[in-house]
Amino acid sequence: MAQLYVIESADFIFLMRRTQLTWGNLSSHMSKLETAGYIKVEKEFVDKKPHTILALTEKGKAAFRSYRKVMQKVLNEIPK
Amino acid sequence: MKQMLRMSDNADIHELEQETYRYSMQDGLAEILIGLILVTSTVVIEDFPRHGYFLWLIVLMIPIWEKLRRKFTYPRIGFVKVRQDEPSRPGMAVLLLVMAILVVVPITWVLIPSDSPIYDTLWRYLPVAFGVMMILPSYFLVEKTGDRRYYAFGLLTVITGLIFALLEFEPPRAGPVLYLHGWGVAIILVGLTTFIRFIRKCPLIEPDEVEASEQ
Repeated sequence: MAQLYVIESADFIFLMRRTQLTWGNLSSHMSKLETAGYIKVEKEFVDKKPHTILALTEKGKAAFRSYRKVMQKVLNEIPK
Repeated sequence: MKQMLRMSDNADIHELEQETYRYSMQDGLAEILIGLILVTSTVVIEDFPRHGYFLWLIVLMIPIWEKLRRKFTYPRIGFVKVRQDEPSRPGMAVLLLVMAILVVVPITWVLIPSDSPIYDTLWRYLPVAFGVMMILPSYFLVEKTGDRRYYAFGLLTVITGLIFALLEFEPPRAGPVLYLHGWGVAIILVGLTTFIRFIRKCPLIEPDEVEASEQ
């Protein structure tokens, strides 16, 4: 989600390369995020080949920001 | 733990954005495009009334560049659309400076008669103006990539512009033509080298993997 947060949209190949996940793994994660309404998936055809574009929804961005706030709070409470 | 820290820190989000931009531009095609634009613009400068239509070639280069990215880049590293943020205050200042140069220089050229001594002086200092305009892309690239070496690019273009202004050329327009040609060729070579390394380093994704993911 961090990777999707810093961009407008990307395809599967990009996310696979950047996250170093396998296709199956990434596909599974994306399905869950789509079900939760955090990402939107657009399918199109480029040169007669299917092409899937993924982007974070506003709900997804808000969820990620909220997650980051919680994590920051947790990390700040950890004694040095 | 490091990953958790990374995702919770604003600075690291910005770093991730810069890393993503560097990753998306690793093919070298942007450098080739810019180099070609610089080289083509020398043809326009040499004889604008006859070769002004070459400007259309520059406009056509952009869709060609996108087609090349679709063919070579996206199948290797994937497609990404980076965010287009508002420019920062210093960025806006640099942009306004460049816009001012782009407006003032052509207007001055039109108003000054070609037999006036100032006309030749304009040609002489045109490389300096180009060098100053290159500060904008170098600043933009530092902001986007986080790589401060791009400042060196802006500095070099200004310094070489000043050097060309100090040299004598006959005719005077040979100075800016040589300057743009030189920089254009240098940038094309950098782009080509980067492109060849990119093709070798990033193999194509197997079609089976792509089809499996799309189902």
